[in-house]
Amino acid sequence: MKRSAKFRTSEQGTVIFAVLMVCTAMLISAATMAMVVVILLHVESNRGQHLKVYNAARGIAISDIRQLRAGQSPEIQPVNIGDILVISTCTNTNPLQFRVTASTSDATDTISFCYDKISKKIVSWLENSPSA
Amino acid sequence: MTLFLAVILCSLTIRLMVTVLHAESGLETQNEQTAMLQNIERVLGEDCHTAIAVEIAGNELVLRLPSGEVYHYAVNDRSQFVRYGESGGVTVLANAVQSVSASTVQGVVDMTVQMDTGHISNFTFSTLAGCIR
Repeated sequence: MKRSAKFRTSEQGTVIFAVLMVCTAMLISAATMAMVVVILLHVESNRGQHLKVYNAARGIAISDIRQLRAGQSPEIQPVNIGDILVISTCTNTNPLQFRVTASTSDATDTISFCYDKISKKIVSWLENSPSA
Repeated sequence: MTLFLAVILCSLTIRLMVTVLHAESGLETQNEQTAMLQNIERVLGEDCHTAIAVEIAGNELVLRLPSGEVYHYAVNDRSQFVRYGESGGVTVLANAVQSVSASTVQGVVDMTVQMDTGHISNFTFSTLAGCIR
């Protein structure tokens, strides 16, 4: 036959096999890279969420302290900042014990601090403390 | 044809292995450095965010926390960046540090760390003292 004179049948099989192997290897490496990117995106989004709730809690806590220093009593009301919910609690003792919890659906951060009304000083400040 | 493909595949594989082996050692040092810089960022960040007083005394950055604890940040004679508390306890934050410079303006700490590799990192943190002044 003319065809078998040009290509040996055994060679045809090897070539397609080699090409398929290379394609499979490339597919596997591409899939792995895509998977890694998805995982990293998830990690970064979690990090961003935590940064958001931390700064929200810190901002509310600092504005509470500013109000205390100005002689006013801070408002203890739940505050919504975008999708973040900030809840503050405060005791009536001296020193005042504050607990500010900011949370989204994925992350929560609690800042608890004590403020001495007589010396007008912060006596303790704890970030990432366990929420009540 | 088979031989041609086999030779190309083999040479590509060998080349890839050589590159990976070569890059691995460099990557390891880089990972170590990143870990140390993240360590500085985490510890210094937490201390700064809680500090009610901050000053630069001599070659040290001094942070006073509400709990009464005072922490000093300095580079020691073995080019380690260390943090030590006045009531004791020394933490090595990073090795192979060439120089650290810090400045505070209105309670904001600005720190530049240069590693022996020449890598320069910059950290900026707002302290509690700066926020409630």
